[in-house]
Amino acid sequence: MTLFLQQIVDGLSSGALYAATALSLVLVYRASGFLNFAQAEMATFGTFVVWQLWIWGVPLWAAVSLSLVLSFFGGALMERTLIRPLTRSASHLTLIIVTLGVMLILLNGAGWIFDFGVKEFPSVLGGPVVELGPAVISRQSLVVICTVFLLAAALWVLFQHTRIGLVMRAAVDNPESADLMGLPTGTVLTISWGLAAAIGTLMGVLVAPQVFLAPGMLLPTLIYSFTAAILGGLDSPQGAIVGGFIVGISENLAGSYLPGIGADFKQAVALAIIMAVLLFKSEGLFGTKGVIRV
Amino acid sequence: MALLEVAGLHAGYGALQVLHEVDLTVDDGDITVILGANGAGKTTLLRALSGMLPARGSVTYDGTELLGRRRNPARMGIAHVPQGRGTFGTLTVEENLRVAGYHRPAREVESSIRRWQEFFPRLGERADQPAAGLSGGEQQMLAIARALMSAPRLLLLDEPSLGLAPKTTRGLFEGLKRINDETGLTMLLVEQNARLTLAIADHAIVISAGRTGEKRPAAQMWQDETIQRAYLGD
Repeated sequence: MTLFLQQIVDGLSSGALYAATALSLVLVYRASGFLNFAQAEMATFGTFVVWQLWIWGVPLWAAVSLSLVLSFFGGALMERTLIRPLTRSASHLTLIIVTLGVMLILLNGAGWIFDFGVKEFPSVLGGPVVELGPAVISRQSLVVICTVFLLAAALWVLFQHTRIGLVMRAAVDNPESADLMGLPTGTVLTISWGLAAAIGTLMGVLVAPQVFLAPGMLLPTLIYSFTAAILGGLDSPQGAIVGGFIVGISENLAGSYLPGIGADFKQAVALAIIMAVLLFKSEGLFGTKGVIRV
Repeated sequence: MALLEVAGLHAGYGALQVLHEVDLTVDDGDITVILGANGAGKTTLLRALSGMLPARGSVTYDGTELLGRRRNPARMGIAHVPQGRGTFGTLTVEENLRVAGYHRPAREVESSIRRWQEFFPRLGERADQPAAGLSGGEQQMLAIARALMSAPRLLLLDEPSLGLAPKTTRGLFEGLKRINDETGLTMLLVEQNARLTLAIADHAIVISAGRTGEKRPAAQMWQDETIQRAYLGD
């Protein structure tokens, strides 16, 4: 029982990370219609920026804030310079290849600038583990989980209760109508990419103390985040959150209880979930029917 | 005075030229209808006017040349109700109206929402429902109310009767006429349904194979034998 509870708690911790990255993926998917393979590497790069500032003596909170702003503009810049000019003429496949290219550039660029060695990263919240009945959870993991819920709440407020959020939803629903009405569709596209990048960096900062900062630190989790996004329906922010936790928990449980899976073969669980969703319920748990999956 | 003046307009989709020579004027405060069969270029004309298609020639709106400008016509007071309504199905009815008032001050938007919900009571009753759940007639009402939310000077309507029962269409056209009477809003409709549109229009123009004919008073168009044969079914 203790093991079971512990696996659930661990699943929630890793699920929170998948959920947050899935949220970034979904924001970009809603805006542009494809998955950004560079999402995790953008987050890692943003985390490196925080680390560098922190090494130079900038207080952690200031370094994080600055890097979040830089990440927002970095994501926005990527949309404006690499994605937008291609959207008229190129297929989604081309755009996905572009994001793969960006991923490789950031991966090796981070290695070139900061070297490939593993770096220690400061925790936002240190201290002893917290006991949840028989299970334990680190304070940092609690911060990660709470942050994901706060992010979800903030995005909900943005989409449901702000003018620009309303335009973002309208532009996703019917881009042509939104253009015809003179709504700032280009601007909301750029904002989506910026937000996705900033969310990524925030999560990178929060998990870096656990996974240790290195180029590609989030790559092993990217497949889980993709799974979470697909399970949630690709165009649904709440789906990304729910999907993230489901994937996190089932991956941990499968690793502990299913014979032959273990820690080495856990990624197969993600692939199995993707296959199952695509075969039996291609709109995912919360997605819009008819969304084209690439 | 002409609010909209179109001269020698050519437009199409890539190599396919649809509009060959379109000349027309729309007078301030008038309801002008463009009658034409399927494929005559009606939708293409409206799309060219609102800048969705590249076009050659001249489109003068309120004394300003529109072609070649980068500014969205919607920001200049031209509202376009597209064929197939183009409402935002995942947004609620009221959100559809609110988002259309994006460029107006918040207080005006709220009073405008109430105004059009009173004008189209169904939209008030269904304010909190997703627009996708509305019937065809209600969708069209919403599309029109949404266009009006931007406080336009010129309303372009692309076959509002499409897919609607005759009774629904009649109610809708009476609504358009009332809006025109009460506010003096200028309207340009393209339609296949000549009988109902001529009843509310001031002027009519026939378009066929991408070329426009002469503009005539709607009442006079009623009498025209070719129109009767082509569009009135007798």
